[in-house]
Amino acid sequence: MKYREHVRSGGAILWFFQRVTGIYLAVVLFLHVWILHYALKEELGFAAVKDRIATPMWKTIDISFLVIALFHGLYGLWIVLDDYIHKGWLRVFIFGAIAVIALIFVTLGILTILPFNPGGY
Amino acid sequence: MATIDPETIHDVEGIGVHNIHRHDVVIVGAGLAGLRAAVEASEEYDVAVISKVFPTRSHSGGAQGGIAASLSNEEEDHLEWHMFDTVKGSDYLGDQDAIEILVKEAPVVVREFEHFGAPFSRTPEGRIAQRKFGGHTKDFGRGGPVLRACYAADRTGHVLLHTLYEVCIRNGVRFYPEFYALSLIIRDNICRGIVGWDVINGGIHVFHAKAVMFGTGGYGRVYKITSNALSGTGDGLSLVLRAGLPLEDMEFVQFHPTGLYQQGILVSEAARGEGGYIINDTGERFMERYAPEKMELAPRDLVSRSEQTEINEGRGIGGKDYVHLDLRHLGSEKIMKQLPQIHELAWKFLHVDCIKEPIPIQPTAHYSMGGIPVDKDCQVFADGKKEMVQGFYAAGECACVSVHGANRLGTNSLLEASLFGRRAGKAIRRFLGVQREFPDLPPDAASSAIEEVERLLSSSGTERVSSIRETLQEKMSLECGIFREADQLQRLKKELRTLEERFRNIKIDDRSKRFNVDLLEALELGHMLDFTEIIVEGALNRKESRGAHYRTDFPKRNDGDWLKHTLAWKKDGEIIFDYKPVVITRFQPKERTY
Amino acid sequence: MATHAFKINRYNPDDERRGHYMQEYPLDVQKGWTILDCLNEIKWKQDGSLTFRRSCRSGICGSCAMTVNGVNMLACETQALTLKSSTIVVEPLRGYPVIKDLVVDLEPLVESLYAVKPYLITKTPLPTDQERFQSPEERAKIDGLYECILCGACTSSCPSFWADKKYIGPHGFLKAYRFVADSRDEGTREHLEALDDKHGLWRCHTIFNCVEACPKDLNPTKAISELKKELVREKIG
Repeated sequence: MKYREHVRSGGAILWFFQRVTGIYLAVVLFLHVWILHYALKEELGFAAVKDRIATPMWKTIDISFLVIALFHGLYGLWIVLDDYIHKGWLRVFIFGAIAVIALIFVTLGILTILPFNPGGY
Repeated sequence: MATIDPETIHDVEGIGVHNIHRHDVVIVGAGLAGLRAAVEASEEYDVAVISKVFPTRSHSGGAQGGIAASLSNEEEDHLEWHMFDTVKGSDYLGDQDAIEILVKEAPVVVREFEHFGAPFSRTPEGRIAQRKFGGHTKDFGRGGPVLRACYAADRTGHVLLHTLYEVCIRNGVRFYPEFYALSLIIRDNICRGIVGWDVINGGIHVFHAKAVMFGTGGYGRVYKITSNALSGTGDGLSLVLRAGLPLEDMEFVQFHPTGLYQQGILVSEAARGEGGYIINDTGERFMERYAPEKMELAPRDLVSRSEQTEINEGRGIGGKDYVHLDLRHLGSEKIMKQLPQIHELAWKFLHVDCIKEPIPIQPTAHYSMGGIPVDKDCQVFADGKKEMVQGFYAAGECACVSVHGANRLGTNSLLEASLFGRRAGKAIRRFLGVQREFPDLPPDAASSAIEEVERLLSSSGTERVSSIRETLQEKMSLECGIFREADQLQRLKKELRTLEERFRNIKIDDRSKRFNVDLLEALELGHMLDFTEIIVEGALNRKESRGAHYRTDFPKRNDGDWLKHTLAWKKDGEIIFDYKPVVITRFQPKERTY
Repeated sequence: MATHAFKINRYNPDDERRGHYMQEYPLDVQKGWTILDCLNEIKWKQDGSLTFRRSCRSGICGSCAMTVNGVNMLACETQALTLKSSTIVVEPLRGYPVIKDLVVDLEPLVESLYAVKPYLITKTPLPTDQERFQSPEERAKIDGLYECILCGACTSSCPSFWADKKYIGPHGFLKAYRFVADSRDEGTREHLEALDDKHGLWRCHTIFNCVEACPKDLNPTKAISELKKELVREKIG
């Protein structure tokens, strides 16, 4: 066997997760647009948005939206790049960068959503 | 594809070769016969298969219609009926003891294929489906056509070949794809191996073996219009001739009635089995004049001769050299389900949609009934009759058991190749149970092969291999085809001498070692010229008409003088004939009508 | 003036310095000639050193898959005149190492075929003197799978294979699914084992090039998506 090598992968679970998150994102994105633009009873403004995102339920939805969207997108990017960059420092750098970007965005997002306290304004 | 495993290399002093490989069994040819033997022998022994093409490229894969076995899955059928049809089909030249084995083991072989995983088409009850085929009848020819051909759509050969290849992978058979056999190593009637040429890398390799088996196939390529692959050049036959062994019944060449016009590409007999008509220029189903009962489902020799007669008498379509195969009345659903490949072939090669138009067809050289004389366990005869070559076996189209006699029935070839391949494998296992040692390898084992390759690689004459081959094919089609006659054959005999002369003056453009197809084509032409002489002289020698061999100057069968097998040797450029009797057990020769 | 110009990508391993180059052959193409007929005509009448594989010339053996005017096809079943171009560019299948001219090394194809355990695996003892039963409906499930001729056109057209030579490739997946889908096979786990691999199923990005390339009109992409579902079912339940 000159060409083959067998390297086990957890591909099945990640592939499945990517499909599930895809569906989740489609639903949440639809909800997001619908609630923001069509489902409002009052005037769209700071107060309305403030009231909505202060609730624990919306905090949960927004954090999951953030984490899952980031994961879905960046893992997709990872898969595509994985086809073409097999080894070397470029691979370490690019895949490191993807991980770091993910971490920064998740942290920033959570820092924005969680402490948000309308009472403070 | 070819990489050499260093573990199989053993150095023997005094032989100028690249590598010496040692395997218990070396099989040449990866078609149905070779692979079936490999499956059998690899249950117990180390088996290598060498083939000039990658295994699944073998021409067994081109077979379409089916494999015969009296399974009675669709309707009543009996071994004896199958036996009678085969004997009658052979024009009573088939050896009946061998035919009895053929029909008895047929159900076992077909079911084994199913067990191996072959995807046969199925009956509504889930059994292997069966269809009609030419010459296969009920009740000793008294009833109509019988459903006997087991099939997988019209890709039967393809599925059987791939299934065997898969089982060989499972069994760990060692493949040497794209290795070309150059010579047999036989000394003192003991086969010691073969010499091969590594096509990909170039170089002589010796394969040292306790048993060698040939499944090297047929030689349709000596004809201009043929259903055979470009690689169907009968190399194994002349390797045997060159080793001083005889060939049997080479004058019997089958022409298939339905070859695509001008291409010769096979349109399966399944097309007629499913109900297709053959029509001449006047729109007549002319077979009713030649075989009033069986019509299009008469055996191939008869249908081909009838077609050729229609063409010769000016009733070809538009006066040309073809007739029509009409499937339109079968309807698109049946065509697409049962005959999808035929639809594809007619469309891709002739731009004919067989659902809407008839297919132009003509007879095409298809199968050689003769070959290397072997016994019922496929061991090769040293003298054609009694004495055996130790450790040398042959099966399939290259061999002559003889179950097909003077004419083969459709679907009996896939059966014969796999059934006798299996028997060869079993015989080899029995032989290796006794023969524990490798026979000695003579120091000059590879010298003739090395000489041949060196001579061809350095040939610097003026003749092109292709032009000699083209002349050979045209002359063979014209003068040793469906109808034969003494004057023509005499002329052809002289012509062959000229061609051999020209062959000694060839040039080849490619002098490199790696993947040199130019060299291969020169080697193949050398082989074809060698055994073609036997076909022509055999045809000249047999002064009667029997099965596929039809002499216009001797149009009757002559059992008194010619109910016997021809054996032919080549000694110092001359052909020597001998004969052996036909084995007749149950069915006495009768007049053959359909 | 010849009707056609054949531009053929040539390479002679004994002349590494020259490397790959295009050579042009003029040819009068007759009606009914296939690309293989044209190549034979060139080889037999003009240049015997031109090298390509061929055997059955009826589209069943799979020897002559090559790239003609940028598309993978079997040379033997493609009519030259249907290409509607007076310049015909012939190249070896992409992605495989070239041995000589149009001949490629199909070792990667064979190795990945071996990897999927391409044979029927059964555990139940076989019936004696009888075939196993399989209904026509069960049998129909492997239509479109068993017809593969191993020509290599699909895998050669696959960007995932271009990127990763260890990738199993559509032909391997098609073969694996031919057995997984067979009602008689009891070795799903064994066939799937090699597929859940760094170079396996998850490298397929459903690009559909294999479907376009297959000369037998088979659909490896569909087989792949069925296999993905099968593997997920096995892992997640």
